[in-house]
Amino acid sequence: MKVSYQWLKDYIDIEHSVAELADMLCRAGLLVESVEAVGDDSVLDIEITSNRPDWLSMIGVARELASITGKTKKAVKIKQVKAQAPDFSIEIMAKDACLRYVGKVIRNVSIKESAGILRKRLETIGSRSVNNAADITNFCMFETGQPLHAFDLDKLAGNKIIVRYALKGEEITTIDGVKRELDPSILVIADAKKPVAIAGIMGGIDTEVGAGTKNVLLESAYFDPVTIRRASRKLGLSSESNYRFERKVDIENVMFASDRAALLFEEITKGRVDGGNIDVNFANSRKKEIKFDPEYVSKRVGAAISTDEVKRILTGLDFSISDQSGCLTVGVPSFRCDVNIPEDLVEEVVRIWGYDKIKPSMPPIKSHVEPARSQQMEYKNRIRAYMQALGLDEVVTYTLLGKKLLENSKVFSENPVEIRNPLSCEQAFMKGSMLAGFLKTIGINFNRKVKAINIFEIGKIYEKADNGFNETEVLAIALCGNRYQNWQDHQKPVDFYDIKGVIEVLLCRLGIKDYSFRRVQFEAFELDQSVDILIAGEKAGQLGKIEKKVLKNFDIGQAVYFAQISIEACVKAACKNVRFTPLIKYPSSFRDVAIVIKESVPAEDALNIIKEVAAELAVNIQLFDLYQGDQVAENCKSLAFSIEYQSKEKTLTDEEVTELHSSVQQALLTRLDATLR
Amino acid sequence: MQKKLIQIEKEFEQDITELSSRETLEAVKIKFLGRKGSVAAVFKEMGQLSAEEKPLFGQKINELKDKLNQKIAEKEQELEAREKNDILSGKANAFDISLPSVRKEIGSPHPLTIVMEEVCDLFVEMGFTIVEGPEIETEYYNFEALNIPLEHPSRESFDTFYLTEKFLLRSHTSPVQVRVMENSKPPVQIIVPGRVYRPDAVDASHSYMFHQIEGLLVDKDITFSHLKGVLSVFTKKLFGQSTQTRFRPSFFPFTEPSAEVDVSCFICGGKGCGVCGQSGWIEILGSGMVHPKVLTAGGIDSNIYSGFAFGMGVERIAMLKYGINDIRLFYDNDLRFTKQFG
Repeated sequence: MKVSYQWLKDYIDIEHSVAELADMLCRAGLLVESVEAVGDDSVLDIEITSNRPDWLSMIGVARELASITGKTKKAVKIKQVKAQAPDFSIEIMAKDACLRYVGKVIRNVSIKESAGILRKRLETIGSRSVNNAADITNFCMFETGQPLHAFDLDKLAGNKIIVRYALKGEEITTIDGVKRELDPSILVIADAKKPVAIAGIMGGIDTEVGAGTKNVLLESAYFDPVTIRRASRKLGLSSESNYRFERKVDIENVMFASDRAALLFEEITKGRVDGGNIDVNFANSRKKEIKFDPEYVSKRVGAAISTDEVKRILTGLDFSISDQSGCLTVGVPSFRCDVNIPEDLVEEVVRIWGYDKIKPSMPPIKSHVEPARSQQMEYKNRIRAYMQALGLDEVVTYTLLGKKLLENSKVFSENPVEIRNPLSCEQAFMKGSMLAGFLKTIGINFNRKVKAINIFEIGKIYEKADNGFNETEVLAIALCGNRYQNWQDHQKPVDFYDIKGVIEVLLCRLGIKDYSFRRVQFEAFELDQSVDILIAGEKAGQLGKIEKKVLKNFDIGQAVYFAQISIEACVKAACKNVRFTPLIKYPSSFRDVAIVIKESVPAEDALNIIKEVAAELAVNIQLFDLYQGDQVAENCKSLAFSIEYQSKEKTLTDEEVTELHSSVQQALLTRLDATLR
Repeated sequence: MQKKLIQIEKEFEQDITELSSRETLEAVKIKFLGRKGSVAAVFKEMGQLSAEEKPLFGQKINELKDKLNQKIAEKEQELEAREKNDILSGKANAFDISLPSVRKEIGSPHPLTIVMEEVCDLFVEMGFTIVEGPEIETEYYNFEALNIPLEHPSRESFDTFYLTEKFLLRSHTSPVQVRVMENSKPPVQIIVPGRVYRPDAVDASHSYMFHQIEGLLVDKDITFSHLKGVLSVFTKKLFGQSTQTRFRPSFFPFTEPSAEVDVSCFICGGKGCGVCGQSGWIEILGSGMVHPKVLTAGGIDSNIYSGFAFGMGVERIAMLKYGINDIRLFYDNDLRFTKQFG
């Protein structure tokens, strides 16, 4: 809300500079976001928290200032009239939504452009001047916090105002010239025939006060916040008026604002109030009371604030106090809808006493038995460290993605988790795979000529479940570009075995031995390089080479390898108690074997045979060469292994190793239909 | 004979002054002191001398030998020093140390991870336990349990993405407060990092997805003074020992009293600059004493226990800490950006 420094002085004497004023207000909870010089005045832009509608007025800010500085508020002149109705009636049909409606008939007004201080005040705070009548209602709203509305009395059919819900099919053209369809959830002000205003939000153009207006009906009312809020949302229409009604105006202030405006109408438009008020009032005027132990303040705050101080502050904020043997009964003024429980009073006292006066102290530290991080969090940190050590950069990708992006990545699920109220179609779905976000990231970096894109993220993927939704934490990895970036090693692009390597390093580091890879068809992957990662026979993730067609959708001109693995599956299978394996003290011997087998025979078969035949004596088996080409028969490949033989019990003799190795060779030849090379 | 010795020494002096490499020094050494060298030759001629002359002359030869050996050693040291100097000064055609290194690059952590870990660790030091919660939340935990009534203007600052009537994407990490209280007895002392969502149009300072860190401490006799104590220690550790904190009254539905926490600007030290908008203060945290209704929702008796809670935006802290001016950089994942951290 914009507050003029000079205007504020109409309600209270201020001896402080604008900067000092801003600081004082900040310390009391009115955050001054900026101060701007406007002519000979200064305008403070104050952020008013939603619990303090009473601050949405000059008088409200002055009231606060009075309690801070101890200065007395200046009286505001009003025109009080007797409650004697003129020839006009007000009927409230929607009693749940309108608890009070005060109408005044003002005759013989002269509507002109406004001038002088009225116009200056409004323009200083950035409110456009319309005419003297509209400006008076606006001025009074900014002054008192109570929105007002003036109707052209002679255009109201049947000398009557009815506050009711709109009928189905009713319409109104508001003063902004827009025709709006109404429905029975929307509260309207109607005359005998039709709606003439959307209650609390905006008046109708047909009954707007203009140059030809002679007589005015001045409305000051209390409308239910929720009703106004819903209507404003539904119509997509908001104003300074509904902003205040939604936050709850002070029902006791309705008459005061009306009387204030009446005075200004008489002074400025030269009109005369005809008769008295038409006041329809269903309000329960019983004052809220809170039982309050003044020592509760010190107990809650941890600072000694005396009972006298508590009383002085609360009284200064217009709370009433009656003392009954130590426990106070605090009466809450009607404009403080936010104060309901003792804690609210604690805040009021400390706010004015000063948050800065409370000395900081440390709470007694409790020692916990449970660790500061859950097991899953500990493992996530470890996994993050492994990924970094492997040269992968961490990324953070969006959770919400568009259908097109998901389809381009071939991960659009048949039963996606959809946002009901997305900001745009690009953020309409929750991701069920990390792939789409990763491809987008790779696309951006490829486009910016980043040579090696090796990335990972630990994040969540989402899916529908029986009673709601599942969120699963996964590790996602992508590799794209050259394996090495230096002048000594060849510029060779990464391949399937690099990403398989990352996953295997991870699993080995976590002490997971029981894992395997199984061919599977996964939409976004090349058919021949697409696998499930299995841990203890259970599916834990997938890994593969991204299909060319998919890459084309992202303008990525280089192979991309992607893997995604469940964190929970990793944590579940991880070895929690590492036990030391004694080191073998006997020397080992190395032997090589090279075989030629059919291309279609997986290398794993050869490895398994070696492991089976040599059993635990083969302590290390390394594939050191794979050859396919002229030197071997067509559709064949040559595999060369280096095997390290070692026994836990004794030094193996040369003869023993040779014998063992030849049985390994023999098994490979017969069982794989292989030849030696 | 005597003359010969003088002649040898003279020749030696000449040779050794002229030479400039260790190889030629070795040759000179052999020429004069080798088995077939000129000194050995003179020694052989000693047989011709008389018995009286022999010892005298022998001594002279030995003296000459020592002298030459010493000079050679000196020369050797001199040449060695010169060689070293040539290598170190780069004059000699030595190994090119300026070729680019062959690196095993390690990856960078994301700046948001760095900040989250740093903040969480500071609270772990003060006895807090880290807890996480679901991102897909219910209306109840996100709003009602936190004293945010339906149809209240305070919900406006918590605009929310909905999945169904009941389920939504949490708009803050505060739901975890209630979830934890429901499942534990005081003392409760937790720190909650996590991802949150609000339908904000994306620009340089807004994102519909961001990260928060929430803290909660509930026990007997917890006061506002404790809140100030814990957060003052935290801000000093995060932003530097000279950091001042300012607690300003504010409003959050789930705390009462509530306070916004500002820290003295760590760029200008509080004098006023572009980062703090000339005010000298930077808003960093929302905080307050836990509202009795929230304690009740968590199944904790608000007559016996009290507590404080606080929350902060991770992106905001990271932007301030690293001088990042556009929030979108965090999710663009341009590796030229990501690689600058950690």
